[in-house]
Amino acid sequence: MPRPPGARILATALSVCLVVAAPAGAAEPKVTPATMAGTRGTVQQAAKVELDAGNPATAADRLSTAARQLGDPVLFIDAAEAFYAQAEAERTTAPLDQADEHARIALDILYFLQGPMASKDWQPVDPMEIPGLVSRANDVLQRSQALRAEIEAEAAAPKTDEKKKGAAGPKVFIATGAALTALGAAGLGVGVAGLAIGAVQQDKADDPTIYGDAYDAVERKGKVGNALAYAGLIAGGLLAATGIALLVVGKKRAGKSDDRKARLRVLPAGAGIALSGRF
Amino acid sequence: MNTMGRRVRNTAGFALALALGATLPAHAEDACTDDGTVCWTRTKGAAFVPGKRASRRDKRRRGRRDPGSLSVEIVGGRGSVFLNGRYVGTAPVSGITVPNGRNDLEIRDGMVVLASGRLSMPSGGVITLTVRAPTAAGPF
Repeated sequence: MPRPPGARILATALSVCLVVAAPAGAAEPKVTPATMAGTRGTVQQAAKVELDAGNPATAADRLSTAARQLGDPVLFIDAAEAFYAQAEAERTTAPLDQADEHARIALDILYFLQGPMASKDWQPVDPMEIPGLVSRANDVLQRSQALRAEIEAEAAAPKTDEKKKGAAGPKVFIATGAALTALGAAGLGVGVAGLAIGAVQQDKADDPTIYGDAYDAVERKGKVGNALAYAGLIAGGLLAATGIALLVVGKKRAGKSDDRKARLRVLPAGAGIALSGRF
Repeated sequence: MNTMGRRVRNTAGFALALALGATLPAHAEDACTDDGTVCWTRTKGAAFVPGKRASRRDKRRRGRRDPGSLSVEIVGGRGSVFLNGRYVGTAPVSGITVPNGRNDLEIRDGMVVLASGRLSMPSGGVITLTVRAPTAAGPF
């Protein structure tokens, strides 16, 4: 990624400033709000260049490094906000962990500065600014929490859609199965009717008083009855078997706990089969 | 001649004792505060005294030659470390340079002070503090 113009100069200036404003413990130079403001300004300027160029991650890293070296609560808050911006842009929660930690470190320092152990020679911020900075750090923590919930909800959303898709499958199976089973039952009914017609016509054909044209008519009706019986029983049987298989698969997919979606019962009813379902 | 031989043997014995002393590692000791919230492993008599602060005289007498080293870890929580009134890092942190003499040390998590007291550091001393956060249960 090409560096924004002036970034190298700012980075060099920042390095020099960080060396001059040495961290606590080295030569222990006196730190006042004014001296820290000067050093901080250089760091913030370099970070702003990165933020404006759409590189919140780089800005956050720079701010974080400087904040740790200087122990400046303002830079810790700036870093926390940059990490928040990174999380917002990338829609990931990892930078929010960093944002939270930097905001908490800022609070550690700000509360320490209000306590009796703080050194008069190390005052990175004006005591009057501390309440406002505490609010700013807490605000980052609150916004981070809200953004985390938002990102986690987004991550969970596709799973919900998949669940919905998964729930639509059993419905299709059950509806198709019910329709085929109904058609199969009707076919079986036609087949049974054909058998009945065939039996009746057979009785008539066996009657010795029926002969000639009457016998031919009986024979014709008997053949139609037989045809209906074969076609109805075979087609109806196949449709009913397929339909019941689909119903079983659909019911299994829907799961035992999801009985509000479909409750199916196959009941014996007289000579045929009765199917009752609720969708 | 006998006197000369004895002197040579004494010098050799002294040199051997010196060499052995120099090569032996510094003896590490463990200790805890009375309430058990802070424990430490130390060498050369480095010590942490909770609730105490360095006096003005202590501050003047701090030396920077052959400084000591401080490490801090927090069990069951987090916190930042402040040495002699300045932020020096956030736990876990190690290798913090500590001037010789008596120093002020505070470790806090926001408004909660986890440990506060006086850290006595001899020349080249090393101390590792383990602080138990209020939420952490059980022993270290």
